[in-house]
Amino acid sequence: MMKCVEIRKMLSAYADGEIKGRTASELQAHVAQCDLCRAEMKTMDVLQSKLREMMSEPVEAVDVSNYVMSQLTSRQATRISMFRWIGVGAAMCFVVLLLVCLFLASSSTERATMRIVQNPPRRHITKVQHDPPPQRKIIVTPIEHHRCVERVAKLHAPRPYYHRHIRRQHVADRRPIQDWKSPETMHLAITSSATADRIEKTISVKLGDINLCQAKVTQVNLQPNEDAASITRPELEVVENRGAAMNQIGG
Amino acid sequence: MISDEQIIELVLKKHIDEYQELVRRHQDSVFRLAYRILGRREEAEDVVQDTFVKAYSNLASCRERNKFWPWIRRIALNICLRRAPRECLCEAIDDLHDAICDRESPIEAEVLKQVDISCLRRAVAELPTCYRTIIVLRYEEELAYKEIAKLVGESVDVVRIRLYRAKKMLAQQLAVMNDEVC
Ligand SMILES: [Zn+2]
Repeated sequence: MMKCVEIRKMLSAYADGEIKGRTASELQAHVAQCDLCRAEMKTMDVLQSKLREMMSEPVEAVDVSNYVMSQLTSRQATRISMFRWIGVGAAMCFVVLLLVCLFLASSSTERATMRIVQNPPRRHITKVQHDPPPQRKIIVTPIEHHRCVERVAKLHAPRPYYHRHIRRQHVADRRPIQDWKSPETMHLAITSSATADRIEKTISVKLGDINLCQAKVTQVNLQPNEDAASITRPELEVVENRGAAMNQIGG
Repeated sequence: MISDEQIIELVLKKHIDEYQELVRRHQDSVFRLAYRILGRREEAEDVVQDTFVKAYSNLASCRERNKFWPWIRRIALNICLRRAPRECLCEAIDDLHDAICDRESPIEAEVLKQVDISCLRRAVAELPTCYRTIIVLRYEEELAYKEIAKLVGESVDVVRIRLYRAKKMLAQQLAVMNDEVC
């Protein structure tokens, strides 16, 4: 017999028609008698049709065909001129070789006086200047110190940062999140905003209206002559009703 | 009408101008894909240009010429993913989501039905790129898990888990938005 947890994990794939055979019939049998899983299935179905509805929204038409063709013909032209230069080069090499042969065949005393200067064919070298990759600074501000913040931040901060900072600093509560007894639904809320030079995300794990934990992840793209240290850390924000939240979940 | 296959033959025989027809036929599809994944029009347009220029120089390696669209889609997808911000850390997403996801459904199907498409669009835009990509491949391109797995270079299991998590995240996010004014 499959448990609800296992069933739930399959409902998305089932809705996509990716679960067949015995597993599918077992799933159907379970859903027929389990209200919660049935509700979840319905949610998945609705979400699915909403997603399809969104994807079927028209997108503006584009026409890049002229641009693409102009790119191709200019490339073609470069290639032809390259071949031309290679041809010229080959011809010159041949002439030079011929002269050298003639020269070697002539008397050795004249050798010092004759000089053959070979002009190599000119080559076009386009220097591509790569902009240095933008420097980034990631600031993770735990608004509430909890193991959960650690995990949430881990999801949204680049790995090296996570290892260096978050793990060391903010492991106040080591209880795994599964141990929490939740009378209400917990959910994850992410709000993000991005400007040209920074991306900011606030990630909260909420229990009803109460923030269990919250972290702010800021990614700042530094200007060329800016120093990472010059960017100040955002203030720590304290969620006051943590105690209430902990009482509620049996902490 | 001349088929894609015939056009490719012609282009490979140096009738370059024929390529323009191929671009015209598929540019909108490439644009849709890029736009859904990247979310910005200008960027998506750049992807379309790069895709067709790159496809042209590799045209000879398109073996199944009757399947030009799947072939060029792969090129477009790779270009998109190279442009996507590298903030995405799917492999780091651990049991937090699952722990939260395993709890009761966060949003009722009936409520979800009322949710505005613009809310959903916003929620999709906020997904990590690797999740959004799979959502787009599934519901815009209507690909099977196996095909998605091949395209993104992951196993079918990974695709299944990511889609599951992506949908849970969307449902969570929509529940939050539903409380606010969207
Ligand atoms: Zn159940």
